[in-house]
Amino acid sequence: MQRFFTYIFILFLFFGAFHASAAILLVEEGVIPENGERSFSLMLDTEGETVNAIEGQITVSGDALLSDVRDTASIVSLWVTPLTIKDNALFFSGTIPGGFTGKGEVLTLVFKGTASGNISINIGDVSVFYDDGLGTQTDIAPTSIIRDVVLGAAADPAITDTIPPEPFSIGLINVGMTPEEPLYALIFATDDKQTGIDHYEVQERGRGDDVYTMWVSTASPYVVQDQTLSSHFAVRAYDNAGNVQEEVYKPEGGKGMIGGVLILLGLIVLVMVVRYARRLRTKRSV
Amino acid sequence: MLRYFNFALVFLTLFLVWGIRVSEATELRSDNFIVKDPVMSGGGTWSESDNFGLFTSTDLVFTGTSSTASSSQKYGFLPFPVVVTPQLTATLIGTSTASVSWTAAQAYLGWSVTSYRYGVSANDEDGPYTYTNVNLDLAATTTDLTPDTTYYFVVVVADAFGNQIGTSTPVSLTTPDDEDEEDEDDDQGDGTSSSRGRTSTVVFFGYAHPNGIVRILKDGIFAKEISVDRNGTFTVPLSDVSSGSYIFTVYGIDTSGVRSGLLSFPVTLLQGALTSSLRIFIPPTLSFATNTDDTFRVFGETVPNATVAVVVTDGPATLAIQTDVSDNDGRYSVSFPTPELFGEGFAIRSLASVGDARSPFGLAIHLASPTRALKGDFNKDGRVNLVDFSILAYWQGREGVPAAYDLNSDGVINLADFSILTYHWTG
Repeated sequence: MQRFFTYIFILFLFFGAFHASAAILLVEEGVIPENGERSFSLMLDTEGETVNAIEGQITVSGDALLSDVRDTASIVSLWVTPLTIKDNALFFSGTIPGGFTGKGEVLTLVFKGTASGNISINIGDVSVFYDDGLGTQTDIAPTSIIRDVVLGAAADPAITDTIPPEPFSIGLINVGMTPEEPLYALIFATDDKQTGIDHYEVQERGRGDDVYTMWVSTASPYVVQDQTLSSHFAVRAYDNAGNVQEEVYKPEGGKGMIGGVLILLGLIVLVMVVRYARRLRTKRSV
Repeated sequence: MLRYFNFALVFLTLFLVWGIRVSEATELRSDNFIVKDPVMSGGGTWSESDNFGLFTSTDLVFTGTSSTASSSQKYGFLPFPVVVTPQLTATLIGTSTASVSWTAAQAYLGWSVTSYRYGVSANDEDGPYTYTNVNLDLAATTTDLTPDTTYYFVVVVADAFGNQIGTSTPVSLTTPDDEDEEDEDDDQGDGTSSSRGRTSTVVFFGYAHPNGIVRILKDGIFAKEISVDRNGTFTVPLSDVSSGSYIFTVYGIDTSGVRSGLLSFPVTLLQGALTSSLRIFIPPTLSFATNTDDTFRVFGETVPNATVAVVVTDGPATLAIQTDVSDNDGRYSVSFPTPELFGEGFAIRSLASVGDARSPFGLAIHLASPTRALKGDFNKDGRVNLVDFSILAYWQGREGVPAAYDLNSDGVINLADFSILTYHWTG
């Protein structure tokens, strides 16, 4: 009898456990105000599967602009490429450690109506991967969605954000082909739970923090110009409200430091040799 | 010094006497034998000489009950049920909320833990306590605490009939007075001490591998790790988390160093709120070995005394199932016919259940390449994390990619490689 119940238990556990199905991308319902902004959630429904990576291309045409994108409520933890809107289009590619099962927000898309009418939101080149360790793609079809742009429709309330992005740490890695031929790069990542991270900037400084390069707008990983690692490296994270969090990475040692130590040692040896020679000369003269 | 020695001697004697008194309740001992489960016989007589004892009984000497219309008589080997009571941890959240979590009670010899009653008392350890039934939850919160007050918390363990079978040792905390609270508000107001606003605490607790490790990742980045107790339960409070939406990831590492599957929890924290992720059940770890007798063995670790199901799948189809009950150290093992019976691409997974709690499936072993090596650990530090992710991101779209970085060997670095790396993520 106990064995019977065990089998019933197991059948219950596995019912649907390995059922394969497709994933779906959706944009929530709503209308866009003419001359105003309205945000829409881009949602992923995994249809019961567990997935860990997603990418796609969003292009917008019609009577509104894709004015902003936020990831503050996203199920995606790590973006492979920065979220950048260009020519009313956005490419997104990111991963979810631990995977995700269910229906969750991938991105918040902000549209700004330019005239009454409608827009077409096309989501193409979509790939979603199972969390199976094999890089297996799910079945997911391109999507095209129409949303109306209406004069007088409700716009989003303004977001007040005075909180800077989260403090973060900076790492130094070798992205070179081999350990013998290193190519050093900075890695960094942080969050801003109010309006999201807009971009990062990096500055390379002399060790006395007295020589500066220009701030460079960049993304992680950032290959440093000073491959001798003689510099200090400052990274600023900007959120979408303009708040800034700055951190500084100070490499320990570095080729420049090693060179300096070698020069110092050389000088000490030189002084000792000179003193010894003088002492010998003094002895001979005596 | 002599006074301290005498005091210690008295204390030790009291301790020993107490210990002997407890052992007498469950066992009968002589120099030559121990009776673990003494017999309760119905009626009869007892005779003894210098060398032996003899008893007679009106009932049979095994467990049972004799009943009449008006009474019943129990006889046989009567076990003494015991319960290991919960260990409590109380944390003050903000100034007026207490978060209390506890380890799972363990019941033996006839008792079973069916529910907990969470008790709170203000200013007096002896009570009276106000109790709330929390079923089998392992945490509870109490809000609206009065300032400058010491609160005591206990957990009562109940059986299926609601009878109290154990009570924890009380723990306490004291709330700050009003002035402390006002000072904190002032700090928030001038923006000097808390530019991040009020923060929250997230409490993770549940079941994992006994004496193993549980790690918490916040948005994919390592946040905290903690040791699992020998009963396979853990509690991890993660404090100072700003309000907002997060993906928390939890996984375990067993005593052999084998990693479990990862579990993800999307959580939105409101300002000053406490969120508890209830009863996380870390999936069993899974290892693989070929036996000498045309079978292969699948083994791993999970919660002690859990029912473990190991399945062999081919895509959506389930081909074979074996079950086992983990031992007191959480170890389980099942055997299948040789892998040749299974085809390319077949996979093994396992899950566990205890009572009404069930883990999800853990990491799969693919029979075509039965290895548990981490894929994507490019810098060989034993972790797959942001460093490895960044190395892969650097090489995406570039030519001359080192073969070690092309995880699916298709000649390019694309999202499929990131998916494989993410599957092996350790944070």
